[in-house]
Amino acid sequence: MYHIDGSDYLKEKWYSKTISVCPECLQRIPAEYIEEDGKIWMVKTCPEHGDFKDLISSSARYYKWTHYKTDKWEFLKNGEANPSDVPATDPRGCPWNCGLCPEHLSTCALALIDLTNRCNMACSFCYANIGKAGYLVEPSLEEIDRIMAHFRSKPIPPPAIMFTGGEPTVRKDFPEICAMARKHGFKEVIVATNGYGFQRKKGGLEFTKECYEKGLDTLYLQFDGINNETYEKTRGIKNLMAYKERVVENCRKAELTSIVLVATIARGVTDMEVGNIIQYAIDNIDVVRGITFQPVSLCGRISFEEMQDLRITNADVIQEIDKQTGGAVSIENAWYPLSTIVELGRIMSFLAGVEPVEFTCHPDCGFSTYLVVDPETNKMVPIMEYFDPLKIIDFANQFWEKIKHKEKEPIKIFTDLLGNFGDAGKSLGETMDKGANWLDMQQLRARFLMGMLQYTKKSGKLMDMFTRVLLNARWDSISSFSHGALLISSMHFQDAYNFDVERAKRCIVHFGIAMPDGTVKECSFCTMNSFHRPHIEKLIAKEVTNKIRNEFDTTTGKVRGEIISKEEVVSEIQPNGGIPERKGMEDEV
Amino acid sequence: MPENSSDAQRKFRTLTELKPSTAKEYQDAIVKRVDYFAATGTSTFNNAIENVIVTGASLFLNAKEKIDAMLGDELVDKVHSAIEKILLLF
Ligand code: SF4
Ligand code: SF4
Repeated sequence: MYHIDGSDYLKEKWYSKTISVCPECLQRIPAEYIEEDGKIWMVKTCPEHGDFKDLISSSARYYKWTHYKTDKWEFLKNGEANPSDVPATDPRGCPWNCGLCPEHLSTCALALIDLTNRCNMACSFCYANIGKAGYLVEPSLEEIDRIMAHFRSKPIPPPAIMFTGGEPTVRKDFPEICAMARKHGFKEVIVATNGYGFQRKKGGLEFTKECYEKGLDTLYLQFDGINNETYEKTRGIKNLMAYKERVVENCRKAELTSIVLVATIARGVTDMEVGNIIQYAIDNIDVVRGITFQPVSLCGRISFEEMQDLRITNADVIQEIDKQTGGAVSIENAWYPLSTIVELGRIMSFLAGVEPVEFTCHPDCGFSTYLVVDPETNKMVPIMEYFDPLKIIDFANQFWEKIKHKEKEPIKIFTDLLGNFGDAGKSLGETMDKGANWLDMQQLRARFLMGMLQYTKKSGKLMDMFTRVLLNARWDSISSFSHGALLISSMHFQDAYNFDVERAKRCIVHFGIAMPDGTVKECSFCTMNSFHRPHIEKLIAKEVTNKIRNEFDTTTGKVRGEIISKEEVVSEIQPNGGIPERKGMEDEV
Repeated sequence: MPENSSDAQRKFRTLTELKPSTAKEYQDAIVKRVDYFAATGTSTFNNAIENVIVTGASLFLNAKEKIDAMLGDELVDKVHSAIEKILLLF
């Protein structure tokens, strides 16, 4: 396992403590991480509802690697959080003070807006479903604008925004919303979609082109595998593969060359598809940039036995990838927690004078790797084979330690020296300091580049692009680099069973919600979905108006008055794209 | 892998099935993206100084690959830590 095989650290049994919640009453309770049978478990006891035990990682060795620390660095980081939006008034603490409260430890790297809870599908495990909820959740354009402005006004604004739902593309004004995001300065505009708007036989290509032209960069395309049988199990719909392929084809034609395949991994249902998905991505490398595996989160009351059957962890996913790629992407050396590149990112942003992107999420949240095809062998290998990763991490951490003060205190020697000689002296001093800072920056860039190159093992087009990323951290370099590699990540969202406040506090994926009082609530993804969603949605729910019944671009729904019955909502929404019955879907797709 | 009858109908592929052209497709994807940005005229790909540095770095990496192989792991480690000390001297 990486460089720690045979170490005492790996031999010692894991034990640590944290704060979690009771899955029944959701009150905060202490929890322990323990090692048993080569696995890591969370155990906790609620005074009222008894004992709970959940699997956190099916590989204790891998878990220990992701919590490894040296005297110079560790994977668990505290970010440079933005100032809080609200005081922590609830004495129960996290997660009851979202958000963001002063306890939060990371800035937001990815802003999310739920554009609607309407969808053309009705997946059984999805929380966002107007039919199930019985009310409409759909922000108006003014509310969306307010949320975007909230995120972009932060001292460290998120560079990327993702539209979620429901199915965001059921809104007719979706392209306009992409244009708004671009105008607000988001560098990467993403939609999480089942592909609906893009795959339509009539108008799908035109819609894809329009979205791209208006500013959409990337599709997070729901993609459970390459077999129709898999989709029948996960979505209850036949022949969905053709639907997915139409999305890929239309993106190709529209030159929208950034699709990330998103696979929800459930034991015995989609776990056998991971190799297929990787293979599909490689075959479509001109448009597919990456894959995100998401082990399914659990909700509702579940017995320990049921839990054992259903729970699948990040470690299971990467072991499955190891198996299904014949060891080419191995659990032994390919995967690093997302937080690994924090210091690298800080250095590059500082040297390039661009907004920093901080992946300071908890090491239990997600792992990733880049796959590259070696031009000499035509074999797929993890990018780690091109580097000495631990030496790079070590160097980057030491380098940042040495230079981080410069971020806050640029050179000011000449201004101080000449400042007393009137305006002319001050202005000369400032000019000279500017020059000195420029020179200092060049020597720092040279040192950093040398340090990184000496731990780089290969040359070639991809490495040229990597050099550019190190030199300027600009979007054109990063994007071109990512076109020559496949980013694979596995992110395990939390639920009430495995919830850990240390993870929540470091969350980098934040929902923005336009509240009826005119404010914006910023809420971490996992706490929103595990705790706050039902309450918040009731506050922002809207009446299903005639306009909504007749159109997709439901931007003027009134604030919730008297909600009509669930049956009525279902029957009113279905003509707008909701699927009436699962049987009969064959014709629809 | 397949466990029940409906799983048996599913298709499974492995990484051994890489097309011979895959490496080239990846390289082409980078080149196409670079051309796309370069066409804007304002990209870093139009920056002459940066282009020279990148070429220099590429030559350095080429030479380094050969030198590292000649020196052997132990000596390479010593050289790296000596360079690192200099680079971190502030
Ligand atoms: S998740 Fe963050 S904002 Fe929410 S209560 Fe916890 S620390 Fe505060
Ligand atoms: S969304 Fe959940 S899993 Fe992802 S970073 Fe936030 S806390 Fe971690």
